[in-house]
Order: sequence, then C-alpha cells, then structure tokens
Amino acid sequence: MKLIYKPSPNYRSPQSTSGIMKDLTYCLIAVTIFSSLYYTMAFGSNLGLRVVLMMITSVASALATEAIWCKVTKQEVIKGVLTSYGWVTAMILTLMSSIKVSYYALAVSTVIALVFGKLVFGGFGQNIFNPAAFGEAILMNTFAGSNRTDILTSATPAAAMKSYGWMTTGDTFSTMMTSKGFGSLGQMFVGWYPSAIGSTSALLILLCLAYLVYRKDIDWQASVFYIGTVFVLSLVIGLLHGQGIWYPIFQVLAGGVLFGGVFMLTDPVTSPVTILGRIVFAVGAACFTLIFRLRSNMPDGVLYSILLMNMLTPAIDKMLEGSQIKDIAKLKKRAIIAIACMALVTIGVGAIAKTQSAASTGNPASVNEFAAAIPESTISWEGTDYE
Amino acid sequence: MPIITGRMFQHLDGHKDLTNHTDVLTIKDPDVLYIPLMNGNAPCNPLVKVGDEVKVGTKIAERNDHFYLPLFSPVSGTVTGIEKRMTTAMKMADHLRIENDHKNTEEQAFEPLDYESASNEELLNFVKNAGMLGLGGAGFPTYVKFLKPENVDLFIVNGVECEPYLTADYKNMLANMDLLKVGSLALLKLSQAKKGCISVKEDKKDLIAELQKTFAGTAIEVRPVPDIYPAGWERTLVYLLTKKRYDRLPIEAGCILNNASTAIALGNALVNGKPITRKYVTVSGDGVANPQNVIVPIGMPAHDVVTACGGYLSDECVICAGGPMMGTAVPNDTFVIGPANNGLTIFVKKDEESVKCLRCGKCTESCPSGLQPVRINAAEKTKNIEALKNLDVASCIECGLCTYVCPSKLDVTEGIRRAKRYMALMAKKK
Ligand code: SF4
Ligand code: SF4
Repeated sequence: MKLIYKPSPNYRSPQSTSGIMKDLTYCLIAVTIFSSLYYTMAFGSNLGLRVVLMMITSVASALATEAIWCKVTKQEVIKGVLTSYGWVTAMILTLMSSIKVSYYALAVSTVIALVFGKLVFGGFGQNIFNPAAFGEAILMNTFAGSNRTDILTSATPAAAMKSYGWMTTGDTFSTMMTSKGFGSLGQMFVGWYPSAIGSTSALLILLCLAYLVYRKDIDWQASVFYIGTVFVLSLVIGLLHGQGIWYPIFQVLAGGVLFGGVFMLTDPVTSPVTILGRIVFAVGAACFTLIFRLRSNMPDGVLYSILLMNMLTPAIDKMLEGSQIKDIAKLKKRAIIAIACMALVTIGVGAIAKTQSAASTGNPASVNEFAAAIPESTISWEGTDYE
Repeated sequence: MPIITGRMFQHLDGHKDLTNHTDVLTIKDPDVLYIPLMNGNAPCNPLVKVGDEVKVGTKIAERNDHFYLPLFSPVSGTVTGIEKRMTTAMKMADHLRIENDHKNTEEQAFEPLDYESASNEELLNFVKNAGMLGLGGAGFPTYVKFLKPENVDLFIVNGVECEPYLTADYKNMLANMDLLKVGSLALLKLSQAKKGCISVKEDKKDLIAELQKTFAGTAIEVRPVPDIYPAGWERTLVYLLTKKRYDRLPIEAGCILNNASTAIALGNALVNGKPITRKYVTVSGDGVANPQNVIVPIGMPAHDVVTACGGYLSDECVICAGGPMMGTAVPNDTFVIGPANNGLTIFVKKDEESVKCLRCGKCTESCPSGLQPVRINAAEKTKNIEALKNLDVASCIECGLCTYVCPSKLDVTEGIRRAKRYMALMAKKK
C-alpha cells in the first residue's frame, strides 16, 4: 500500500486542451464542408474537390513539419505532434486562402507558418503571432504570383468594395451587389457568394461561435466585441456620410471579419489572458480593421489588424496586471481610455474618407456602367479578402 | 462584473451522491486515540499527566496564548504518553495518547445554559469555555469573532459545504436540526445583528425544506446559494449574499459567519452540556471501498477510519485530509481526525498528462480572489518581483480552482504557492 503525495487540489475539470482543439477542428471541418459544397454548386465539382485537396495538402504539410521538428529536437514524435495542434493552424490558413492559391504555395506557407510562426518561439503556447495569420501574410506577400490563373471565379464583395475605398453611396452599392452577382446582404449572411474559402457563411461561422462558447472552449467576449465594434463604428462612420444600415452590415459580412473574429482573434495563445484584456484586444483589432479598410491598399484589414494586435498583447497584459477585485477600478479606467482612444481615431479616419461612387466621378455616366467598368484586375482574386 | 472579469467561481461536479444517501455510520471507537495538542499553529498545553485517568468530557488541554481554547477527552481511559506525530499540514506535533477503556464513563464538562435568558457576556464566556471552534476547516476559536460585534447587519450560518465529495455538514444538519436552531439563534444573539441567515446550496431541496420548517418564525432566514465553488468561502459567500467585497475581515462588510457544524456543536453544548468530542467525517472518493459518512471521536487515526470503511481499493492511492480541492494530500495515513477535519477523500492514483499553457485565461476568470494565476506563474518563473507585487500574490487562498480549471492540466496552484514562498523569502531578506 502506497499513499502518494500530490499538491492539492487533487481534482480536475474534465475539459482538456486537446478537447478544446478537437471541438475547434470539428468547427473548421464544418466550414470546409460548406465551402466545398458552395464551390461545387457554384463553379463545378472541380473547385469543390479543390477545397478538400487544399485542406489535405496543408494539414499533411503541417503534420510532417511538426513530426520532423520533434525528431530534430528529440521529442517523442506522436505525443509532440498531438500536443502541438499544428493541424488547426493549417486548417485556418487554408480557410483564409483564396481558392486560386497553388498547392505548392499553400504547402510552403504552412511550413513557414509553423516553423517561423510557432516552433522557433518555443512551440505551442509560446508564439507571439497567430501562426495561421502569419502564414497567410507570407502566402500573400511571397506567393501572389503563383496563383492559378486558369481558375475562374467571380470577384469578392470585399474586393469590389475596396475599389470604392470602402465608402460609397447606397445606390452604387446596390448596383455593385447586383451587377457582380453577389445578391443581397441576406445571401451574404447565408454564405452563397465568393470569398476566401472559409469566410463565406456568416450563419455557419456564428453557429460555430455558439458551439464553441457553449462548450466553454472560448469566451464570447473577444468575438462579440470585435464584430460588435466593427458594426458600431462603421454605423457611426456610415452615418457621418449619410449611409444607411446596409453599410455596417456589409462591413461585418464582407471579408474576414466573422471568420477572423471567431477563429483567429479567439486564439488564446496570442491574445491577452484576462477578459478585460481580450475586450481591449478585440476592440483594437476592430478599429485597425476599419482603418486598414478605409486607408490602406489592402482589400481587407482583418489579417493585419490581428497580427498587429498580437504584437500588442504583452503590452495589454502588462497594462491590466493586478488584482481584478482590488484594482478593478484602475484596470477598468485604463481599458476604457485605451478603447476610447482607438475608437475616436477610427471615427476620425472614417470621417475624412471620401465617398466614391459613380455619380461623384461623373464619368462614366451611369452608375451601372461604372460598376461594370471596374477593371477586373482590381477586384479579381489577386490577393484574398484578408490582405 | 462577470462580463469583464469572468465569474470568479466555477460549478464543480460535487460527486456528493456517493455519500448523500447512505446512512451515517458510527464506527467502533479505536483502542488508542491521539489528541493533537495544536490549534492552528499554536500549541495547546496538556492538563493531564501520563497515567491519569480521563473520562468523556474531561478537560485535557488548553490553548492559552492570546486566545483561549480548552480541549476535552472524547473517550474514557488512561493517558499513556505524549507522542510526536505528523499532522495533516505535514508538520510534527505533540499528540496526547489516550488508551480507550471502551466504558465511555462520562463527566459533565460544563453546565448547560439557557441562551435566551443568559446575558451576552455569560453567553460569550460559555462559548469560550466550552471550547467552540470553527469546524469548517479553520479551527479558529469561535468566541473571538464575537468579542466586539459592532455594526453587524447580517449574521450568516454557513452550511454551503462547497468542497466536492463532502457531505458531512449536510448529514449533520439533517440529523441535528434542533441543535442547529439553538446554536444558530445563540450565535445570532451574540452577533447583535438584526438579521441572520443560513445558507446552503440550492440543489439540496430536502435540506432547504427542513431548514425552512425549523427556522420559521425566527430572525434567521434560509438563503440558498448557487451550486458553485467556492460559495462556502467567506468572501464569496458574503459577496453572493450582500454583493459586498471586503478587504480583511467580513465584519467590514457588516457580516459575521459561522459554520453550520459549529452552530450544531454550540447547540449541543448549550442544551446537553457537552463539548466537541466527535465529528461527522465524509469518507469518499473512488479509492475507498464503502464511501459514507462516519461519526468518529477526535483523535482517531485516519488509517482506522479508512479500514472501517472497507479500506483502500488500490495499492497506490492519494488520501486528502478534507475535500479534494483544499485538502492536503498526505503521504501516509497515520494522521488523526482533528476538530477541523470534515472529510477524507481517497482517490486511486492516476497520472495526468500535462501540455503547455495555452493562455486560455480560464484560471484568471475563475479565481475567487480575482487574481491572474497564469501571469503569477510566468512572473514566478522569471522571478519578476515587480510583477509579482502588482499581481497581489498574497491574496491567493489556495482554493485550487486555477488547477481545477486548467485544460492543460498544469499544477497552477502549486506555482502560486511557490510564488508566495518566494515573496515571503524576499520580504524577510529586506
Ligand atoms: S488557488 Fe489562489 S490563485 Fe488559484 S484560483 Fe484559488 S485563490 Fe486564485
Ligand atoms: S488555465 Fe491553465 S492553460 Fe489556461 S491560462 Fe491558466 S495556466 Fe494557462
């Protein structure tokens, strides 16, 4: 008979990190299946299949990379790979990519994402940047040229909107939606429109969010504050320019706001460890998303806003260091100041954005023609919505 | 403000069904008892010598520093020595060895008292001389809390028993409603509070019904609390009941709290003139053959208790003195049941595979003290004193919740203890 000493407590919740990753994997599989179905129905089974093959390519490269890494660093391979969760990174990376990305570019980006985005930092839990976002940035900046040109899909709403600098009149907007075949905002909500592979169905992504929150895998705060802030700030900016409710709704539905907000911003490793910190983090990311959309050359600001906030995570944690009971007033004040500053800057940036429309350019004559006249190159799949 | 800080508690699976519905067993008293001559960290002086005969209720020792606390013999027999034995805190301490003659000859330890007609001063002295102490785990002499009861709004009888597996208080309350009523009302009187309440978990429907019947028409109201951990911790309970936080003592929030078993013990002392000599103890967990509640004399070695419950189920077990959250796992079972012990939780040893911290923040959302355990552990690793100071390490009550919630199965609480020790060391150096 042996009695063993173990420091108390000797009782643990059934939830495990591997369980959390499993749930996340299920959600990502669901998004992949939806996407594959959409591409099959809209563009033929070739593209539907391509979604699946891309996913397999990326996941396989991730598993191989981590297995080799474990071998080289002399860790137990199977355990190492299973507790490093590289496949989640690979799946998110694939879902953020455009269907036109070549298998080769995707595989190489996956390897780079894992090695330089995660493993060199000391592996799972130590990385500063969201590895998937890191990989996507590489993919877009290095491999844009290797995109398949023979794959024909249509432009994405985010890219089309970008050609108006994310600020246009309601009329131009409706014309754009119909002439490009995006349909209604409702159709965008359900997800029947072209976008990055995984960011089509707002509905499905929100269901994933509900599932992950229900399973206590993630907090709801980061996602809700991110999406909510994008909505509220673009509502204000839209009002300053006399836009209707379509404007904030479009801002939320288009591009990677929902996908990024649910699957990337909630990555615990690269976000602050307190809820208050996560709120600041999410609001910050929302502000930068809008600023990048309105002021930069990138079609969508989601990716870079997340990377930027990843970089600020240690600072946010430091800022909110203290007791959440005794120091709560002080911590709340700091958070509110940070949030207020970022929101004001964003509204300021939004206020000076120019409304671009067919009418304001005066040429070509009709709104319809203008929308049709947007050169395909600026709105086609050169980059993806995340850039 | 759960939206921005997390809820600062967790619902745990209490596994209380293991022992809730089984009968309470009175087991045969052991042949030899070892009465710990300790109260908290303070020694108690023996009042008997080797060779003395003692009876049930004989005063055998007392604590006599800035606090006073008498100890009474639970059995009749002969004092055969003073031995050093390991306590549940894993320190060596003197224990009074009493050989039991199994005759249970009694002596009146003190006269019963009618609390209603007694003056507050008489009552306070009674509580002091009857050796009443916190039976919920703290073991703090009860009278001290009532020395200066000023501006007390609410007197709370704490029957929450939030530790998983433990049902001793629940069983004790159900069996001794009348004594609970007397003891609670007496304490309410001492507290000079206008209102009193008794709190138990809301899922204990049968108990709540009984309590409502018992306390109907008194100034004590039954106020159920949610089934969360650590609802029975003073700060959390005061917050749940009054929405107030306090800095050092509950009296700052206008509250005085006492454990329900303490109230029952006081009831027993007032009505029957009997001191605390026996305890309800829950023996539970997947490592013991017959999980159940037992009534045992203070000073009974854990080994004998476990044997009476059918023994261990595996060759490698973990035995916690108390519940699994706050009870220390002791590497042997020679320790004895002290007045503040209310459980033995026994598990078959199992190994947890831990992975790296994923910074999920579950520990920062659950910590009832509002701390950020993950950051404390990180700061402890780099010995970052500045950060440790900001992070208020000293407020940790070692409730164990941070380890419980950690999905990466890290020993988070143990890291906090290391940080506390490190800070204490640094403070000393200065
Ligand atoms: S053990 Fe300490 S740090 Fe951990 S949850 Fe409890 S009070 Fe907080
Ligand atoms: S609960 Fe565990 S994994 Fe999560 S932040 Fe705390 S220590 Fe890290």
